[in-house]
Amino acid sequence: MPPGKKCITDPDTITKNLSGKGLLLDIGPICTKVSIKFPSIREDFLHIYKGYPFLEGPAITDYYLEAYARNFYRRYMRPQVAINTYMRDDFIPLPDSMGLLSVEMSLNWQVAFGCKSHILFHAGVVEKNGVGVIIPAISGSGKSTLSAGLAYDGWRFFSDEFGMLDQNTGDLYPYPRPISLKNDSIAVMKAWVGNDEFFSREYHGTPKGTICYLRPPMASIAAMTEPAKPRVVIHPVFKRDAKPEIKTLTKTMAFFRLVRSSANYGDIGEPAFHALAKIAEDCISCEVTYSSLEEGIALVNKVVDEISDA
Amino acid sequence: MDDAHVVYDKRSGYSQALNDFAREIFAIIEEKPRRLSDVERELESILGGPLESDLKKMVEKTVAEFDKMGLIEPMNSA
Repeated sequence: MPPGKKCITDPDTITKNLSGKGLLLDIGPICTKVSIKFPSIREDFLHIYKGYPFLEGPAITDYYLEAYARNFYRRYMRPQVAINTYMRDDFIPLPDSMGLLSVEMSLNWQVAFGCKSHILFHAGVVEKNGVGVIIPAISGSGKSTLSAGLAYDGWRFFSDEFGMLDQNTGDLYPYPRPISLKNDSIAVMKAWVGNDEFFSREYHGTPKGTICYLRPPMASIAAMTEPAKPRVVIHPVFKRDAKPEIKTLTKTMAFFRLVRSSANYGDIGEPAFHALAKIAEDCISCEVTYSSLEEGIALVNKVVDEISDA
Repeated sequence: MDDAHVVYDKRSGYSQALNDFAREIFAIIEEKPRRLSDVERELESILGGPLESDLKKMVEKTVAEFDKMGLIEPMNSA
């Protein structure tokens, strides 16, 4: 439970708020008021957000999200879910069978477009023994699978999508939303985790193929207000049949790759430059090539163990 | 940094990487506005001798790159 905040635990109250005026979903530094008018989507949402803190109001809210039907017909005949973020969005309605996707992608969009309080990386982030690891990569490169694998291998999960860096303190802040897995990685993670209860159902036929959401470990959710200092930056390269390899980057290359992975570097400006330059100077940055999840996790552990021994 | 110098341009918001030579030329211009000939003279003073033609071309090319990157701008001739 976030310190100093009161949470709702009664399931009926949670459902009532989610279907009505909105449920306050408090994750790390961001509080979003979510309202979902479709029972089936509410059920999917509450399944993957099981154990997350839902605040009693009133609370300072960063974002609002409403999933609704545009009219009576679209609620019951070939139902479609529309999204309103109150942020001049322009989302195309999706079939209600993909409602959870709509909600999750909209929550991502709000942060990517609207967050200026923290420097954002398009990256996974995990932490162990005070060592924060940033895993920047483009979509489809394996960062979510690697982040998820590490999370279910004893690492504290911060995010698979957004690294959040405080520009003043240089600390990484957790934003541990459910992990988005795609295509082959779904089976890989189901085998790795060994408990299907943590997964959403699979959503087929999306532009990115099949998508499934994985709830992070409860310990990571419980520790979501505790920051960590970045010490390692790992750029993952997943290639079938590749020889496992760790390639250290120069500090200059490390800096520019962080800039490239940042969603709001230009918006934040000079403070972001200094913050990223400090990471490039102080952290070990490397590119890690691997051909399986086990291999990737072993290489990450190797890099971190070497700096711990140093 | 270890292999290059990274500069932040407050006007454009862009970050640029400069090698040691470019950083040296930039430092000369940063000190006060200079003509190209002034930059060459200052470099000769630092190196303790006249610049060879290859080096002069490198200075010209570097300054042209700075202009393209928006790191410098023309000054008045007054």
